[in-house]
Amino acid sequence: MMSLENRLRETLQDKGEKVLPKPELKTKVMIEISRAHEKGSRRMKKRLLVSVLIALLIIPTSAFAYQTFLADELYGSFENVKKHITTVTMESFLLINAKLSQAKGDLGKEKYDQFKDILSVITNAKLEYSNKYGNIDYDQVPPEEMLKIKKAKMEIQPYFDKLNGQPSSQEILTPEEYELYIESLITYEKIKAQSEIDTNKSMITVELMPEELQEEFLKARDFMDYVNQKQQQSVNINQ
Amino acid sequence: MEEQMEYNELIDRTLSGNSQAYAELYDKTIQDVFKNVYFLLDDKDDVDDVVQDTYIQVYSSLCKYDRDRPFKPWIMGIMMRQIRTYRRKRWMHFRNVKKAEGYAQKAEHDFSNDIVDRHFNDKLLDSVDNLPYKLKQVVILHYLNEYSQEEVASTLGIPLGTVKSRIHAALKKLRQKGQHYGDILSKVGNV
Repeated sequence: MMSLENRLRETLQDKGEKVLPKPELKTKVMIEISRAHEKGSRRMKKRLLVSVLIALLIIPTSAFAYQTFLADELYGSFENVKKHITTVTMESFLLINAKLSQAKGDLGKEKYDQFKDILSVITNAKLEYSNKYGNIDYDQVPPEEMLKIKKAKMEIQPYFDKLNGQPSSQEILTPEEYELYIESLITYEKIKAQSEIDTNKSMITVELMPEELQEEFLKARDFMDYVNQKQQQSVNINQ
Repeated sequence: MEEQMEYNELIDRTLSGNSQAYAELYDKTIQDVFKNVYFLLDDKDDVDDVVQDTYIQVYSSLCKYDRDRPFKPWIMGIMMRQIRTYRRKRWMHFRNVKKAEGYAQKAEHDFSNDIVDRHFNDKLLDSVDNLPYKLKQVVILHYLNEYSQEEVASTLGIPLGTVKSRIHAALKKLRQKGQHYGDILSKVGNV
């Protein structure tokens, strides 16, 4: 007969190996973290805003079966996304789904439908043109498509601002500035695509870019920072 | 040592705003955190909530983490505090209702060749689950996680002597229950 201590050790450790967390738990945690992060450091917010809805598309983990998603309405299905962007995973799909649910609550039915329509232009473009890390090289997109995408980006930015609890960039900036801002966001993504950086894994730093792209990249980033600060000031004034 | 360096690197990246790094920290630690919370909570329905709170707390305390201390025990300390908070919030009688429900569910056993053996182990897990929390805590840390008595003491912030006496008391209780169960089994055998 085994001693009680050994039996205890064996039984507990045996059972411990069988107790497994559900994959959804990670999704829940990561969503909470990104919320805490948004609250904690406002300067980082803009980056997040650009990334939250779109780049969250691409965080690697193992796939698993789950119920049907809101996100299905936009992408067709997870399988469909996966065919196009190799690094996309179920988890990122879930995260988008969660963000969309939040959008539904925050925006109200009618606004949400508008938002979804515009967003689908952007997600379709992602499926059609993005590289395996989910970034689009806009230089390769046909001009008439490009016009459509830019228009959608200009329309959707105020929704992103709202979802991130920021004042609307469209309202704060002059029309020229606003257009320049959207162009900066596009350039930012374009250069990420052209540099072939795995934007899920590495921090995006200018050192990773080929030299000839660095200047354009820094210009776009500086302007994004400028808008960021302006939004921040506007928050402070209103408080 | 190498593991600790990996943790430190992930922590640096997390602090500079990379949420993917935190996802990796999660992957590296979740199995340990999850099974411990699982064993330490009476109501298994609340395990996910407590684990989630633990990781949120870890995230917001990360900037205060002292790199000279090993990372895993640090996370375990936060986890223990989250469990304590959770327990404080809950009211005893509510817990007992749930416990009774738990018994009813466990009445079904699967019949297999090693049924007696398995039965014994199930009983043992049940008995551990029903230990007073303070005893259960030391049993889980010492026998599930293979923490030394000194490590248990420092994780819980209690004197080594207390750890020793709690382990002793826990084993005594488990032995008593085991004996009781053994008596029943042998009677059945006699029939």
